[in-house]
Amino acid sequence: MNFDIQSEDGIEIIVPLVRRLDASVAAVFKQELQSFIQQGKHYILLDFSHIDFIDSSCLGALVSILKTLNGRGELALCSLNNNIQHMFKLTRMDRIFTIGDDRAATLKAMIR
Amino acid sequence: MASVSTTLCLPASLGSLAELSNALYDFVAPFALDSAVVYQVDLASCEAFTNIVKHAVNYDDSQEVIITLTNDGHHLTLTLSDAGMAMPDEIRRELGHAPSLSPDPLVHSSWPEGGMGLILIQSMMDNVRYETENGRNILTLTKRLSSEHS
Repeated sequence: MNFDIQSEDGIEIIVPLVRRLDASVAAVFKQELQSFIQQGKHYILLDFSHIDFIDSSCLGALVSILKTLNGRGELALCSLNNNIQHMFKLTRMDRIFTIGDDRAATLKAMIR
Repeated sequence: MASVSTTLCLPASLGSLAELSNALYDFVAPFALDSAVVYQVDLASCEAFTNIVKHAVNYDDSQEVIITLTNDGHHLTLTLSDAGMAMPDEIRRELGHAPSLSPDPLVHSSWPEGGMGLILIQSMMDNVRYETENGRNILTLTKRLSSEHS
């Protein structure tokens, strides 16, 4: 899976360069994010600009990453389209993730 | 409008998910449906297909899933049929009940990593029916279309 990665103020901004996050890529997606944490990158902003679809498998992968961090960092999400935002609200995952409208606003809100 | 249908047969593999989605979008293209409606059907079909691969056929990609899409002007109906293991009774009983998740931000153990597929299917679709007939499991998902888009 390809990502665009930038760092800003100790936060890794990770942009998956895929349109769909579904069960066919969930294992790889989770593995890639786990490897960032293993490299010591504990403050992650996942930018959904390129993503127009996510299913429960990849949502579960995100939850798994959040649990791995276990309060030792932060995983925030930004630039979710309306459909994906609706899915997060429906599953109440908006209660456990920091979700921002855009990259700049979310970066500001993240705890360093 | 007259009912319009299409049927496709896909290997029971997660690699078929993209083709399933493409088939759905190709099918609905002439009808100018609300994009949110199509997304919801896309998500429900993805979740349902994934459940078949994982639970009904245990990743056996020699098995096939038969998918039928129908637009009768009032509803978009998707059926997925497989010859794998039937859905357990305790899960069948959950169909038709209002599903919900309640993750507590302070309680990590309440954060689900799996098991959200059926909840999403039931939330996205207006009717979900499951039956087993002549050795085939048939999941029927129905989404009402608004009158201006049907």
